[in-house]
Amino acid sequence: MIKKLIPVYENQTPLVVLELIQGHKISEIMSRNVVSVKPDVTMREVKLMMKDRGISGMPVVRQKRLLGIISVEDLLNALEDGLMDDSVEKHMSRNPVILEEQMPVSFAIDYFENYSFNRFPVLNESKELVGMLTDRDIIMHMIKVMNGEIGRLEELAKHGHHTEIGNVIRRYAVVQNDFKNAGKASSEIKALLQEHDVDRKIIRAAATAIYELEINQVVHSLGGEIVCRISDDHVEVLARDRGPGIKNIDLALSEGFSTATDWIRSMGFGAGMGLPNIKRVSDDFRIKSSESGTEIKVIINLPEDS
Amino acid sequence: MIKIEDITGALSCTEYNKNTNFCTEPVKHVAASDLMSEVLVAEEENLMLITALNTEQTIRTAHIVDALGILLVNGKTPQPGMVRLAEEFDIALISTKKSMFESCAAVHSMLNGEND
Repeated sequence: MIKKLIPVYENQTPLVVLELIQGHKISEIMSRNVVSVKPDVTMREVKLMMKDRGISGMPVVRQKRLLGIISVEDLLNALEDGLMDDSVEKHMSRNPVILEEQMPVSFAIDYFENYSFNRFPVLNESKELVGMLTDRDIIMHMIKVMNGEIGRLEELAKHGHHTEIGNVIRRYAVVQNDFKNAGKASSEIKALLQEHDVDRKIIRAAATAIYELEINQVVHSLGGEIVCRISDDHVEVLARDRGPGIKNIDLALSEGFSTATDWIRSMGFGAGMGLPNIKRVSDDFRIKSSESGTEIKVIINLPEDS
Repeated sequence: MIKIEDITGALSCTEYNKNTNFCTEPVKHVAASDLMSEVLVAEEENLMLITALNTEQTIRTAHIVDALGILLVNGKTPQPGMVRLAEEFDIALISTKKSMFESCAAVHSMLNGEND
C-alpha cells in the first residue's frame, strides 16, 4: 500500500473517522463569504485588497464564472517585473483545480494531499463559484465533529457494560490437527456471554456446541472456520470446513459412531459424541455435507431474562 | 461436604493449581473419562473431572462444564500450558499415582459415605 501523508485508508481507518470525512459534504465546511475580483481589476488594486483583508489568494470571477486564481506569488512576480498596472487576467493562474460542493470531505483531503495549493475554489452544479475551501476549514470542521463524536463514544463506553449485546460477530480460523488452539473460540464466546450475565446453562450449551464444532474441524476436516454471531436473543454458530465431507450424516449423528483413529482417541476425542452433543445442546441444528466441505449451522436461544 | 482439598489428601495428590474454591466448594458430582465429548454430556454443577488425559483440552473441557477441578490419574503430570490455562480459568489441577479405577472407587466411597 502506498503510504499517504494523511493516513486515511478505506480498509484500516476506524469507521468513525471514515464517517466523519465521507459523511460530510464540502458545502457544509467551505467558506461562503468569498472575496473575489473581476478580471479587469489591476494588480495594484489586488495588492491593496489582499493586504487589507489579510488573504493570500483570490478567485477571479466574471458573472459567477470562475476564470482563475490570483495569489501572492503572482503579485510578487508582477511587482518584480514592474507590471502592477496590468489587469489581473494577465497574471492569474488559469484552469485552477476545483472542488464541487456535493463532494464528500474525503475528496478535499485527497486534493490537499495531491496538490500543493492552500485553497480550492468550490463550484455548484451550475459551475458557479459558491465558496472557497482551505485546509483551515477542514481542521476546524474536523475538530468540531470530533468533539461531538468522541463525546458520544465516551458516553457509550461508560454505559457499554449495560448495553445489549447487539450484533457481535467473531470469526475463528481452524487448522487441521491443531489441538493446541482448539477451544479458543469456545472460551472467548463463553467469556463474552458471562460478561453479559447470560444464564450458566445457556453459556454451557453454547460453549459445548462451539467447542465440539472446533474439535470436529481439527479432527476430521482439512481446516475451516467458525463464525459466531451473537444477537440480542440468540447465538448463531456457523462452522464451515474445506472437506472431505461426512459420508453418512445419519450415522455420524448417532451416539458412539466415530471414524476417529487411535491417535485422535489418544488426544481425548473420537468418542462418537461430537455431533450428537452439538445437536443436544442447540435449539436449531442444520447440517449439509459434500466432498468439498461440511457446513453446520447451530442456534442457541438467549431467553429474555438472561 | 467433600472438597478438592479432601480428595487431594485422601489420594496423596500433587497440587498443580489450587483454585479459589479449593478448600470451600463441595464436590457433588464426578465425570470420569479420557474422552472429552463424554464429559461434555455432564449437566451437573459442582463437578470434578477424573481423567488420564493430560492435554490443554482437558482444561478447556473442564472449563466448559464449569468443573471445580481435575484429578489426573496414573501419575500423569500436566503438559506445559495446562497449568497456565488452569490458573487462567481458576480450575483446580491435582494428580495422583493411583489408577483410574482406584481413584474413582476412593472418590465414590467418599461421596457415598457423605450421603449415608
